[in-house]
Amino acid sequence: MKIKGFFKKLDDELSKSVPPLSDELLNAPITLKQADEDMATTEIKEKTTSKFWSFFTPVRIGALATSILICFLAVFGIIRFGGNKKAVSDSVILQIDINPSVSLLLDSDMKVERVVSNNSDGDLILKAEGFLQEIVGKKAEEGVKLVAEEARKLGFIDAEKRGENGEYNNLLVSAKGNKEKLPENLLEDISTTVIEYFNSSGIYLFVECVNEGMQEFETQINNVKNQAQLYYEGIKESKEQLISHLNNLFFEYCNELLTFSLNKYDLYFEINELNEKIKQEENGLGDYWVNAIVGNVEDYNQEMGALLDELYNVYGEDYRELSIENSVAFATKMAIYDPENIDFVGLKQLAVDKIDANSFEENADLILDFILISAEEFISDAIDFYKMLGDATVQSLQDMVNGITDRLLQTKENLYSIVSNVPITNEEYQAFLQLIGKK
Amino acid sequence: MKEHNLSLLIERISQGDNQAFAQFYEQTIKGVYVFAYSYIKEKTLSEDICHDAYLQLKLKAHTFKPGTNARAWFLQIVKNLCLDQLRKNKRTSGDEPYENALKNASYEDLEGNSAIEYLLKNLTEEEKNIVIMHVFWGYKHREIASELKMPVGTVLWRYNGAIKKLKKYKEEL
Repeated sequence: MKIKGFFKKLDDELSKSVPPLSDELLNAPITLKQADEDMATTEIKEKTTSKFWSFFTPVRIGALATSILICFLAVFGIIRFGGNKKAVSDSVILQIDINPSVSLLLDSDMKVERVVSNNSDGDLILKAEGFLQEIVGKKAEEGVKLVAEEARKLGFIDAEKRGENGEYNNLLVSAKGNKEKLPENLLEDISTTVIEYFNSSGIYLFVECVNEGMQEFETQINNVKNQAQLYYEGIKESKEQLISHLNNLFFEYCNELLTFSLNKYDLYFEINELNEKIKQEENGLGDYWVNAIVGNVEDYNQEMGALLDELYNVYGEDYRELSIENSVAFATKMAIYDPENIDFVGLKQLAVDKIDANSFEENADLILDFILISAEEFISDAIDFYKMLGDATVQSLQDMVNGITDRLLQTKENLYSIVSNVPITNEEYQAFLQLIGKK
Repeated sequence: MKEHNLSLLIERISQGDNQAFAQFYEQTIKGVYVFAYSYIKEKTLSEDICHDAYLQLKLKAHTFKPGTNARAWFLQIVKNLCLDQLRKNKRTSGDEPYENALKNASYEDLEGNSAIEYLLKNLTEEEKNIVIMHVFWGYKHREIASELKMPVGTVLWRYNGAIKKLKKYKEEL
């Protein structure tokens, strides 16, 4: 029987079993509160409201997210109030579209003065730790490179895309402003800097730079100078738009988190499989950690070492030390997360099908397994929070967007930031351009 | 059920609002009944506990501190009544702590045919507590972890295990 069916039956039974409210009970006297003991109802609302929305403050995510927000606010404050006293006509806007979409405001020295996000993925770039501090004041070509590198760390530039089947990473830089003020080689310098950087990282990226002159410049310069730096902060007029934004973010977060969690468990099982093999060895004394202490597993050291390094570097779980404690800890972990009890096959299919609003109803069991393996209590909280969206204010919705954006940023950084590709030669890059029809 | 709503209702009850009392009853009676039943394991006595619990609510609503946990406050009243009942029933021997009696008392009299009995008979004490708190009282897993003083992961794990057991319930039993 499906669990919903069971709880429905339970509820029906209870409806028939529970005693109705009797007249005797209803008419029983109430001992009244004395007037001087009373507390304002408003105070209760304020306490519970702030406690409710505090789920989405960076404090719940921990010190890392708090420092991201502090850095962002500090830099935002400096940029907003520092001001640009030079003539508007000396400024240049570089709009960088990967997706994400981000605009850089360049001063007359062609250095980055301000950065704004043009969409929700752009928000992730701006909220990355230290990004805004690093980019402001940088030369244009360096600024574009920083944006592209951040996009790469968040998975928007895919190291696996090499031009086959028409799939390739694409970066478009559109310069807007007075063409006479734009240095002659600026766009070429931007293109060269970014391509060389990504080639050295072994990632194929097609870079296109165009000079659009004064086209839409007047409209855009006001936006880039004055609008909120983060895209979601600019959504103030429409609650519906914010809710739609929030929904998209939340499900993106669920899906990235699911992929991340499944990747982690694949690694656990790989380590466990190797460990079981070690246990079967003739002269074995037990699992890897025990055997390694007495030097019994030379043949496996490199392989197991690499797996444990990955578990530490990518997922932050450290079993590298040879100790009985680690032996016990790993065994305990594997005992808890038993594939007999968690539907990993179902979860992998869910990762392909993608979590959406229907998943919480139609795949409730899988969602429970997802919550379990991701150890993310936020997801189970979010189900209740979504029921209250209709009563939310614009500010509280923006708080929620901020909270989920931070979580999504952290998950994407964990999922995509590690890359180790062989550098690309100039010949290989030219071949790539031919493959995608750009040469 | 929302903690915030319950807190407001208790506040209104303490001011003599009988309509708030009726609403509170309607919102909580199933949770109280199944909670009492999980302790007392007997239908009529569980109904008595329910009656007494709501009488106590009327007597003690003025002592509730707004902003504190309304569900935990009321459930403690219910639990105390259950433990008093167990003492009266003398299900314990002279020296056996009655908390142990809860664990040791069996559901022998329950046939396990109804969903309620199936739940009470087939889940462990921990699983019962977690399911009742989550399903009937709207506690989040994190809140249950805090109340029962166990890690969130363990709560999720136990809850998941309980759900898998309950899914085996068959209507044709």
